[in-house]
Order: sequence, then C-alpha cells, then structure tokens
Amino acid sequence: MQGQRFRGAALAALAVVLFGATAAACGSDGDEASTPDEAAGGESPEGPEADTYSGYVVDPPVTVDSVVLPLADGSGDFQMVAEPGGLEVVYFGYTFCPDVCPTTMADVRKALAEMPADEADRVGVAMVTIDPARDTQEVLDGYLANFVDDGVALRTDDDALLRASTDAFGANYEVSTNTEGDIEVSHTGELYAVDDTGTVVMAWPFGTSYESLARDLRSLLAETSASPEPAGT
Amino acid sequence: MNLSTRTFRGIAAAGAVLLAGGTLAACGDSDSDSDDEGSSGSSEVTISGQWARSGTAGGNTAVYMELTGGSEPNDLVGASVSSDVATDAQIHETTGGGMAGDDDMGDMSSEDDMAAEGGDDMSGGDDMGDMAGEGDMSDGDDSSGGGMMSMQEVEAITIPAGETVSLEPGGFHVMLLELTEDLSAGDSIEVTLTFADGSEQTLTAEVRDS
Repeated sequence: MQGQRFRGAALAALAVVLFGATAAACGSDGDEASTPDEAAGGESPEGPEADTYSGYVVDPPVTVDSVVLPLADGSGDFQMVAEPGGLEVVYFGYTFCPDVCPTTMADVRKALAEMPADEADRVGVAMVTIDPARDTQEVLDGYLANFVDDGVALRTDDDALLRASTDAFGANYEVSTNTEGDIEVSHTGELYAVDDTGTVVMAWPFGTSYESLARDLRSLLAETSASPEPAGT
Repeated sequence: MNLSTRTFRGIAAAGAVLLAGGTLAACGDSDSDSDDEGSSGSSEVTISGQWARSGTAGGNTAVYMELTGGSEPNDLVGASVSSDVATDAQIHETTGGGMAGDDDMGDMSSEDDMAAEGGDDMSGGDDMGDMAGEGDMSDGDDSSGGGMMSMQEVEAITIPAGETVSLEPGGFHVMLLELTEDLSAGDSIEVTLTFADGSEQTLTAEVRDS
C-alpha cells in the first residue's frame, strides 16, 4: 500500500510539471506552473551537478564490503567493493522476471552507453540472483551478457548467505510457491552503487530513467576521483 | 488492492487525456484525436504504442501498449501468441515498490499526439525524475528504500470508456513465457488480445531492446 500511495503522489506531482513542460513546448513562457522547489531539479543543462541526484543517499551509510558472493560460473568469489576510483552497480534480481528486472538492466546499459567511455569503464555491474533455483549459471550469465559486457553474475544456493547479502544492502526478496505450483518472486527493485571502500553511496528506485542514472553515476565518479586516498580493500 | 490500483490508474489515465487535450488546444494541432472513436456504444478498444522487449530463447519477456476504451467499458481478459513465439502469454501486473517517476512520464505521454509532439520535452525532463526520486526518498526513508515489488497474473484489466490504460514497465504487461526463439530488436511479433465483450484483436509489436 505504501508504494501505491507513493505512486499517487508522484503522479500528481508529475502532472503538474508535465503541464509546465507542455506549456513551454508551445512557446509560452513556461515557468508559471512550477514552484521554485519543483523547478530546482531541472536547471542543470548538462553535465553532473552534485545537488541534483535522482537516487537517494542511504543514511546512515551502509558498508557492504563484508558481502562476498560466489561468481555464478564458480571461478571464484566477488567482494562488494568497487575497483579503485570506480563504482560497482549492484542489482538483486532474477531472470524469469519479464518486466522490472530487464527494464532496470536495460536502463543500466543505456546509462553506461550515455556516459563517456572512460567514465563508463570505471563502472562495474554486478547482478545477484535472488532465484538461484531457476537461475543456473548458464541462464544467469547469458542474461547478464544481454545487457552489459563484463558484468559480474553472482549466485549462491546458500540462502543464509544470500539473505545476509541482501540485508547488508537493505534489499529484500521472497521466493515462494503458490497453490497452483507457480513460483512467485517478490523483491525490492533498487539499484545500488558501491564505491571503492565498499560503501553504498547511492540507491535508485525502480523507474529511474537512464539519463538520470547516467548523470548520477557521473557525479558520483567525479566525487570519487576528487576525494582523498581511497581506503583500499 | 488490485482494484484500488486500477482505479487510481484510471484517474491517472484520465489526467493524461486531459493534459493531452490541453496540449492540442495550446498548440493548435488537432489531427488524429483518438477520443472520437466509437460514437455509438462501441466497446472496441484502440491499441497503440505497442512494443515487446527483446529476450532470449527459453526466457521470458513482456509486451507493452496503450489500451483506450471505446464509448463503453471493456476488459482485457486474455492474450495469446503463436507457439513460434512463446509457450504461453499471460496478463500480469507488477505491484508495489518505490517507483521513481520516469516511467510514469511514459504513462502521461500515452496519447499518440503527446508522444509525437511532446516526446522531446519528456526525455529532456529529467527534473521530473529528480522530483519523483525525492518523493521516494521521503517515502522510503523509514526502511531502506522502496518496498517489495512482485508480479501476479491478473484475470482482467479494466479499460474504462474513453480512458487509456497503460501497459508499461512496472505495471501491467502481457508476459510471454518461455520464448521459442530469441527476440531481437527490429523483430516483430503478433499478439492476439481477447476482450470481455468476446472480441479479439491481433496487434503487431516491434521488438526493442529498451
């Protein structure tokens, strides 16, 4: 219910802004429908702008460098820490998901494509399956490869480990079988960005546009490179 | 729960229609107004903006579209595809979660006129997403982000008279289960929709990567 109420508020707000944008498009002076607060987010003509993130900062900060999950192909483990000076974008999803997960992963792909290559190269992508029973290594690797090159597919059959991992991020999931025998999966739809200290520096709710995602990532990268010595791993 | 969602979506769709109307009036462009159809008691649903997401053989994907009711309400009650495309097609709804607003912009731009005319404004309007993101932050700060999202098969999607219901990412969609072959951008597939009045319509959906 909470989510639905939110949709209501968001849509109402969107309607207001949309009207403003429409008016502008038609050649009138389009500012009359926006309050200063509403307009504040839209004044960045190009490039990252620190105060206009679309994602939200997890507060208090969450550190996830203790999360270590097996690579789906069994070739080793992956620790939730980005490369020095980089970011790791982490998603908890499942491949049978036809709607939310591919929408999100496609947005990640488009966001990275939108960014200058040298910046996009500093962003890793990791997908953790929350449905390991159906997401075999082959399925998961193939799925991720559809969206990003060099993505990290993570999978564990150890439910306690998976649960500890999602808990660390503040993510959640539930896999159950209904009375008709269908597997039903619920999960939080956030994308997370982890920095090179293993701190979750931003989370984006489902539905964040790829343009916003790209802009946030660029801003975060700029902050990362501007900060002093990374704490290392 | 489903009912309230649907009701709300109906209202949102009505808002989109009104906005589109406003746009047309403001811009003095009045062609292809889809609201004029079904003048004498038609429950025929108009389908527009349909597309399918790419996917791999054996996997699942979704088909999205806008459904606009005629002068009488109707329900979408079934969907089917050839076995050349997928094993099964079902009507699904994703519920819950803390959505950012961007995809709802797609909802708002559901009218064809809007999509064509206002498309650039929409994509340039990242501030909308920012706003919605802030809304979500205040909404979800007591826990850690948005709520759980889940997906259920639904028996019907109600299409109120004269209103547009969006099948869009994060909401309603036609789910294709166990794709027979890879679906790649540029391909197209046929999907047959069945409505409560007994009518059927077959649409051709272009496959996209997004």
